[in-house]
Amino acid sequence: MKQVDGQRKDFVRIGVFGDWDKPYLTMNFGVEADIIRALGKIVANGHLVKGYKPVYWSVVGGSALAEAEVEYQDKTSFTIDVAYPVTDEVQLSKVAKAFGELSGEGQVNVLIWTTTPWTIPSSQAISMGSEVAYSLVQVATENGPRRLICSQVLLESVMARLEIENYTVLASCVGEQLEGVIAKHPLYEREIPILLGDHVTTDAGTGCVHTAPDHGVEDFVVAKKYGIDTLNYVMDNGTFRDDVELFAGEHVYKVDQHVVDVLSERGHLMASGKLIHSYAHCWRTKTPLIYRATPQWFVSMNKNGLLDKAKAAIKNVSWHPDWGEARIEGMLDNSPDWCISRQRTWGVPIALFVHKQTGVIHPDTANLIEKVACIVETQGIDAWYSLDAEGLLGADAEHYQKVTDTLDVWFDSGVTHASVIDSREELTYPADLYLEGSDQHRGWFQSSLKTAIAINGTAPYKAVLTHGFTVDENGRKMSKSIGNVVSPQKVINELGADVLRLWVSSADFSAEMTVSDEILNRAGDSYRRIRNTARYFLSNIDGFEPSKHLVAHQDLIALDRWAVDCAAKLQDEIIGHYDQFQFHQVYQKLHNFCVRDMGGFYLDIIKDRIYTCAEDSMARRSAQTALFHIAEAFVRWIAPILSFTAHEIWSFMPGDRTKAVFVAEWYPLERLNEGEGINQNDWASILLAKEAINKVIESERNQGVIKGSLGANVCLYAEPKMYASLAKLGEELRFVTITSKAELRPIAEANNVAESTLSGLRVSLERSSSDKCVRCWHFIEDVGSQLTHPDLCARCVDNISGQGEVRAHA
Amino acid sequence: MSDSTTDYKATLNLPKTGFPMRANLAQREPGILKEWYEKDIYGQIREARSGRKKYILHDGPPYANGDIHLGHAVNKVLKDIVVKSRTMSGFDAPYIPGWDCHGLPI
Repeated sequence: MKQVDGQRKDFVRIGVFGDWDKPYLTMNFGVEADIIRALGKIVANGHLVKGYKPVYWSVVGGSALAEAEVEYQDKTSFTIDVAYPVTDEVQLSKVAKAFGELSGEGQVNVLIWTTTPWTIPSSQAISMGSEVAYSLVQVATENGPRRLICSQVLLESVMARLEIENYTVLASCVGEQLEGVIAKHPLYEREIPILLGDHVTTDAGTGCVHTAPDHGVEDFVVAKKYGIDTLNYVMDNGTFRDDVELFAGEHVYKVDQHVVDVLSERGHLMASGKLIHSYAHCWRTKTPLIYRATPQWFVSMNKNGLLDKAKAAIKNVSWHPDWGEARIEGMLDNSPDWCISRQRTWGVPIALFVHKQTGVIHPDTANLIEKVACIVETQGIDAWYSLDAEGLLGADAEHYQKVTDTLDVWFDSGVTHASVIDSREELTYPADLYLEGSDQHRGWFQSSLKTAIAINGTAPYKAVLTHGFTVDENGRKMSKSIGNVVSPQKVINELGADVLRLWVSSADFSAEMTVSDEILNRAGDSYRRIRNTARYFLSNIDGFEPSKHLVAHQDLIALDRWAVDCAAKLQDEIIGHYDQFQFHQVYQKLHNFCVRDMGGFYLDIIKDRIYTCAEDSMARRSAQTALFHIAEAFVRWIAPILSFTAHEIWSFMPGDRTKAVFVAEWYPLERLNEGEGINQNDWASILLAKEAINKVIESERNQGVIKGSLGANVCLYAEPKMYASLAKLGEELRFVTITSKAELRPIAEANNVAESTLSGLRVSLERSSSDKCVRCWHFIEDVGSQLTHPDLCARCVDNISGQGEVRAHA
Repeated sequence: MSDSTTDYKATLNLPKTGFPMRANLAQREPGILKEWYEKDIYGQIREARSGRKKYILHDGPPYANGDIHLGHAVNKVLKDIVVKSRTMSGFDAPYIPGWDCHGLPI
């Protein structure tokens, strides 16, 4: 629980909302009881089978492992070529028949190749491919002449390994013709029959596969066909049983050299070497795994149609990214029966009673499971081990025994759709979404799917979303040894949780997510941009009381109506992106909105109106109304990502509101009407023009012609369409260009005026020669026209002591 | 002249707000967390959305082992963004976090 508390504290700290006081834990008695009930339903639906089968076995953990617990690491192994002698006259005559005749001289040997010498004691057969071509080859060795049988296509590589330069192919045949020949075990008095198996390839080795059904799934399957059972030489802890000749008590990890030595002494070792290859390891102990045949419980993929049902169900799930479907389908196709039993001392028990003689599950299992579940619900899983069987089974008790295996932990987490979703009142099955890292196609998504199909016949989720792993800027995984680990605690303590959250939203999580100090600092810059935009909204609606000052939409000044429309359009896109889990698009568009539409255009233009028009004037209240609406929408857009900052903004917003933004819903915004005087196309043209004009102003300022944009008079020469749009602003064009004077002329009159960055627009600029109004900083001819205010322009005089100026467009 | 300029400044409606320019998130956020907890914002959301259409994001249980690393944080933040945006869209989207404790002998 200490671990849970620590993690919970961190998750809460990054602003994740949830029922943190009542999380679900797989160790809750109620959850444990429901895990047992889930097993009961799987038994009742006929999906559980008992099998004796090689499974991945951790000799260190003394336990079977599921596929999902296996990871691959490089391991150095022996490679040995071993000669299995054929000495019996009857068998030699079969070989002669297969090859047509038996010429040459020396012992006849079937040559096998293996990377696991420790499996030689358990060797019970040799598998060959029925269509594979085999050669009978005459060689000379230190121990005299021999005749070797191996694959024809691999012959050269075999001879290279055996360091034999001179050899003669005596005859050839196909594997089918050798089926049933009996060789001898190189170490024991044991018959080794030649079998035919589909798993034999000629990619490597000799084409003759030493077959130990104890230690390989394919070996097990082919041996089973020929009626050959497992030997069970290797015990739980990885040592050979006491009655195993030569190797009793030795450990499989350490016995290889001994096996090689004995084979060599007895003249059966034809070659030996070392090989580094990718080998299955236990994900928990990081030690090499072996295959080992043990009695286990399986959820059968085929016994009752589980595989087919699962494959049908995934087609109705929506996968994000869409390749998730192909991945899980591939996993299902390659999915063997799921071994759900473990030989661990902790975990949820496989709470079954099996008949002592027959091993069959008790016929009344459905009822028994429910009774056990009720006990576990109050007393926990330990109750199973101390359970009095007689109390449950009555007189039957003496014929039955409790299964002491525990369930695979993937079963525990895989059935949370039953133990959690079904049992918590606020949740409903199936879930709308499972969202985990992309390694879970083979893990939790799969275990959840299989158990849900086995229990309910349906997928437990309607949609599955995966995200990539975090890597550094060089694409490397985070690792302590490389020193590139980014600790979330450190990011939170230095930059804040909101910056971490903003970075998460900015990354395209369908691929690997790159993170570094620089990337996080960039997220910090981006955060400041968003914060400053919000701050602008708030600082300019200071004193604005929506109940009193809100201007009706149709009465807003055209530019303000456009700004609300711009936000409304963006809002539709943002909601769509949230719905489609495209958070980096939300981030990108938010950023552009702050930088371009607001920072680079609207907010700049309305400063004049908000600062200089009379406090309660229509011109000012109109802009504030737009800002208020936009801020209302904006704070909601950012709330899912920048939760802390949104909460903070919310507390500074005027008007009646809920205690937190998170209780609110999206804010409705009005769109522009079709028949607007200045329509959306006009505004699009005006925005483009403004961008080009800004560049001209910037360049003139850099050259010292003007100090600020208000020091300039501009003349715009526009092509007809743009002219028409700009003309709609009338006398208020200068407020949009933020210059003291703005004239508009047809482009035909441009003469020597240089081109701007926008085709169809030329801009000439000259320094205003008028006086500067000390209040609004415009350079206007009418400064000083009112004797009472010699330093002011007429507009400012009107704003402070007259009717106040009237604006229509901007 | 300077006097009159100052006077006119008083006639302007310059921006004003208590909302700080500097975020100081690392210092500020814990206080906001406290407020969320004290006002039971999660409970208020549940109440406000009671009876609405459900949206269930089911949490996959991480192993209850050690400090959270960046991958955990990414996963939980993405889930939180989904849940909060669906809530904003009007869904009743409860989020029940979970832990897998059976992977370990706790």
